[in-house]
Amino acid sequence: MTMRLDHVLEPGSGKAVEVRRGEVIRVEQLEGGQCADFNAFNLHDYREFFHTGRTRVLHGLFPTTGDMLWSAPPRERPMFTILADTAGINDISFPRCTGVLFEYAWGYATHTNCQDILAEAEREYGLTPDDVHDSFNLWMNTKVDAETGRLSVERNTSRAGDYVELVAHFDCLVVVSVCGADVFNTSNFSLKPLRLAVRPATDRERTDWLLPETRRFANQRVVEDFKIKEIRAERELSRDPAYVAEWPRFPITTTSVEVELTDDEYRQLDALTSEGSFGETDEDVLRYTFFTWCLGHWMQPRPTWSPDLG
Amino acid sequence: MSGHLVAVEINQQQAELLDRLVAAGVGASRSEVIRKGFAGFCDDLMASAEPAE
Repeated sequence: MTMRLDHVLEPGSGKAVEVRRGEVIRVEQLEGGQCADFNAFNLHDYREFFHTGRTRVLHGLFPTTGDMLWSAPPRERPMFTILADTAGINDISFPRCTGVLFEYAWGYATHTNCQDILAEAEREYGLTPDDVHDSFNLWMNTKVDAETGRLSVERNTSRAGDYVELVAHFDCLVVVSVCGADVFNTSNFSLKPLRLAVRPATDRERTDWLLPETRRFANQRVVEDFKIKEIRAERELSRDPAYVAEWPRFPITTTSVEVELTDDEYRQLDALTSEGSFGETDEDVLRYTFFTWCLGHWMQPRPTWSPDLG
Repeated sequence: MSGHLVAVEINQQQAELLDRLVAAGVGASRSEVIRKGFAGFCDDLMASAEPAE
């Protein structure tokens, strides 16, 4: 297949590449065992960028084939769908490594790190070090201790030829770095090159995976929705004396609903209240259990959009 | 019904959800929807406590 761009990322480097709607970006292991950090921005509005948190909640800690990369609130829409992931060891919990990390852990005055590499690559498009965001970590083999919740990094099991492919749902600037962590086990204690390539999606991929450009939810805000549409130029923050708060829903008012329970239901409620797991009073327990039931039976499923859904 | 009354305070957003459930036919009133949801929760709790076969 013909690639529009085909580039080797040498250790210690990164690259910013434009990936247009309907194009597929491929990151590939040349030797195996190398972690890559992946940033992404809306090409036409850099203030919309990839958000690890929203992606983590919707797709879990290890995004893989079929999962989507989401932009940050308030935009909150799918940027990419992962079409292929041959190794299946991606991470979305760890932040990018930084120069500070290597300085405090090892005393390095200068050391390869994703923050600085991504910042330097993004500079080609006028972005600053403050614009680097937490990464989608390709081939970072992480684990979570179920008891303590602590994260760890395991041996990188990717091999030469392993690749991840993502299709863009709108025009993006993607920035990829060869993770610079050679004194941690992220990339098995050595730095190796990666291949970065961009190609058009096939007709089948467009049919199966490409989402419509329209917003599905009114709360996926666009700049036209913002009260302040301009991007700040000043670094100093100062109070707007004319500011008057306009909360989306305020004030919050309450009303009381009297619920009539049968003897049997009341005994169950009383037992749950005495047990204490769902609240301290009958009212607390009734509210908690009712809305918990709603969550399980009436909440809309998590968005797993396909082109058919619109 | 023997009539054990329990008052539940909800806010306007929660009331909106209850009204949608009433419209969906879950119950004839906010009160009945809460009662049915509570009964459903208890059923779910019992089912999850049953040993797996």
